[in-house]
Amino acid sequence: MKRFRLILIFVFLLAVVAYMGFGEGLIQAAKAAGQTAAPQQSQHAGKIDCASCHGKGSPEPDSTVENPRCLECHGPMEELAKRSEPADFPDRNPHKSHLGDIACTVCHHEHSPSAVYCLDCHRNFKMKIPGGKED
Amino acid sequence: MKEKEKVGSDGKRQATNQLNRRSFLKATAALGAVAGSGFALNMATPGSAEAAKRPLPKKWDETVEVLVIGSGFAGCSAAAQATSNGAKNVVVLEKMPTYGGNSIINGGVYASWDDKFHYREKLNLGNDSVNLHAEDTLKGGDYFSIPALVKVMAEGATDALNWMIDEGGAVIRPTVVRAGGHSAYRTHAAGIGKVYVDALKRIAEKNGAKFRLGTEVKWIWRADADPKSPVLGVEVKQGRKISNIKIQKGLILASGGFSRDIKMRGDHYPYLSGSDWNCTNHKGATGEMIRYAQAIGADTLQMNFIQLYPYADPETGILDTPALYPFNGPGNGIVYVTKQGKRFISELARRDHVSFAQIALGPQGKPTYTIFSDEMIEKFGGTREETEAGIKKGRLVRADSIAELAKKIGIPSDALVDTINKHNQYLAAGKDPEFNKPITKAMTPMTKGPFYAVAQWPAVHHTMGGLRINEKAQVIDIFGEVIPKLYAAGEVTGGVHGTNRLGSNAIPDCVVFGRVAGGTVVKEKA
Ligand SMILES: Cc1cc2nc3c(=O)[nH]c(=O)nc-3n(C[C@H](O)[C@H](O)[C@H](O)COP(=O)(O)OP(=O)(O)OC[C@H]3O[C@@H](n4cnc5c(N)ncnc54)[C@H](O)[C@@H]3O)c2cc1C
Ligand code: HEC
Ligand code: HEC
Ligand code: HEC
Repeated sequence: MKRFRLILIFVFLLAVVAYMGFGEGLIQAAKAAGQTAAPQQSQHAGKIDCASCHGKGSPEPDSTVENPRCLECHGPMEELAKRSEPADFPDRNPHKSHLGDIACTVCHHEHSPSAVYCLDCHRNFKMKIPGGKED
Repeated sequence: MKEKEKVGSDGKRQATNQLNRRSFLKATAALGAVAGSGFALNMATPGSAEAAKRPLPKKWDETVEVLVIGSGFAGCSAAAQATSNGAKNVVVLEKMPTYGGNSIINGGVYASWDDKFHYREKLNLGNDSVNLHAEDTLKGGDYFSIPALVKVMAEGATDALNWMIDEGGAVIRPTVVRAGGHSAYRTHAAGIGKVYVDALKRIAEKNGAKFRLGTEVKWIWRADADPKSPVLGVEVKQGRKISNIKIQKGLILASGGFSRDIKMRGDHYPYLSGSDWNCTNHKGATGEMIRYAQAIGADTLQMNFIQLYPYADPETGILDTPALYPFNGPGNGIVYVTKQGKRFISELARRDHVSFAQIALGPQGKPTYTIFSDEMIEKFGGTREETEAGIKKGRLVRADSIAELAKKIGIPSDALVDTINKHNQYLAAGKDPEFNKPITKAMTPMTKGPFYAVAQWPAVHHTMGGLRINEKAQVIDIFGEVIPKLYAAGEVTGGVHGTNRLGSNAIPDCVVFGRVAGGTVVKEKA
């Protein structure tokens, strides 16, 4: 009986996930199950918690995280950019490009695979991102 | 298809894209019956009876004085001008996660008969005028352009350029080049379009305009097609959240062209259907705003005039700096050759003519090459830094002699040497008996190395057609009336460039009409 109920809850959660889309669905599912966390898919998992990025309370659906928050731990920007400067083509730098100041979350995703936005246009650049699909 | 999903365009609503007058009238008549009961004009959803019943939002989530859709040249200059003219509450919506659309990746060449430094005059590059710029534009578009709109662009180009320099801090290079289709040295260079986007955004933000990224417009609200019936607002989507924004003074569509909208492209120009064509544009260059505007009665024109850029990177379709040289260099004596080392067209020919001359060579003809010499680089607005970078990443090939250059790119040396020698003679004689290129004194013969080659091939680049506007950037409906409070500027509009946009005319088009829209909208009653 108890097991049946668990299965039901599980199916319900799956449906919620499917319906709401990945990220938010996971948050909602986690909430429904009384958990505190939406699964983290990056190196952050097990190292930093929701509040480190989202602050107190559970985040609103579709809420994002602004750059200064990331840079509290990963900044300053100049050093981050220095570290990611490729040796062969210094200007193919994800953190310093002709797109200017863009959101970290354009490329880095916490609850889904990350993707290098530059490759949308530069099909032949070889750039890899932590937590990417083929990572 | 994937691309469209990525930008979140609504495939279903886009399904019907051409209005016909009967369905329009039917829908309008149906609306008449329900007038006053809060139904929105809506004819784009399949099954028009139900379609006419998409209700207006019951409540607005937000009210904005002037709402601008798109954050490229046109949107930024509209926001900059509206705020400069006193609008207090101006919001720019951008669906992509980054700002600037095609404008921020643009090559930065800008056609204007003059500039505040009078570079053309100082460099002794001959005469030019507003009228000549307008005449070249009309001619280059086979006289399909609307002359009144061309006049607005040509007359406003210089002031708009100076405005971006003076108010926005844009920096232009001290060169003026003569580019394909232009009969004068009037193309100014900034290296990259971001220079102008940032200048315009700076003016707009200094005056209080707000930019919102990742926010896509999904619908335009208008109660009915009565000529007095204004646009009321828009539906927007941010993440999964849908909300409705009411406008007080006006809605300015600056949503760019549709080169990446494979369906719309193919619907109007079947030759360019399918996804095999390379494309120079950013992924957000899709036509949903044109469809939404059509759905509330807006007229379009010349949607089938779609331009190929002849000099894109043959592999990726990107229009990078090396791909700009073949366009900027003809006035300084660069030469285009086939894989056989032969010229195939006048280097001063229009983009469409060059593209189709390349395509006529057949798939085995891919790629063609531009040959130039070191002496020309700075004259056509390039820099050594750029050429070094181009060589490093394999886009440019360099050699000390023409024969060696030919070997490096794998074309017959004898043929290329012969072609360049002949071309040098044509320059000396002032006459090109092969392709009748108008020879000028600014063209440098290729006698002194090192020499360079860059590969090139056509890619879908610019959509000349779009929404019909008047000289005040007001959108016109299918019966010829102004749609109150609806404006459009930039590549989303049609009628300025005719069959073929002359290179470096898009920035002045976008910035000038953006300013016109922004300046006019503030005069509307809230
Ligand atoms: C690679 C490249 C180089 C070029 N070089 C030159 C050049 O050197 N000189 C020249 O004169 N021309 C050039 N052009 C052409 C010129 O850049 C474009 O015509 C111009 O940028 C168009 O500006 P715009 O403001 O109309 O549109 P864009 O700059 O494309 O901006 C429109 C914006 O609207 C957004 N948008 C669209 N739909 C929606 C929606 N539903 N909701 C919210 N936002 C939406 C888009 O995401 C986009 O960011 C070039 C074009 C390309 C692609
Ligand atoms: C509270 C501090 C903190 C915040 C805030 C934070 N991170 Fe991290 N981040 C970490 C830690 C700790 C690691 C793990 C480092 C390790 O294991 O070496 C990490 C790892 C990463 C990695 C993977 C590095 C690798 O080499 O694999 C990326 C990418 C990253 N963070 C990006 C971000 C982004 C983007 C944000 C903002 C959305 C952000 N971080 C916010 C602390 C933080
Ligand atoms: C255009 C896509 C893109 C954006 C935007 C972006 N990153 Fe990255 N990031 C990458 C890529 C690609 C790598 C891998 C770089 C490498 O391997 O050298 C990376 C690596 C990292 C790393 C791990 C490597 C290191 O040196 O610490 C951290 C941390 C990080 N990014 C944080 C950020 C933060 C913070 C921001 C916002 C300020 C940001 N990123 C914006 C693409 C991006
Ligand atoms: C919307 C399409 C687009 C996106 C996204 C984009 N670029 Fe570009 N990029 C271009 C175009 C077009 C050019 C050529 C125009 C120019 O010189 O700026 C270019 C030029 C460059 C160049 C110099 C020329 C070359 O080919 O080496 C580099 C390096 C570069 N981009 C890196 C990046 C990086 C890093 C990112 C991600 C942070 C990025 N780009 C994102 C379109 C894009």
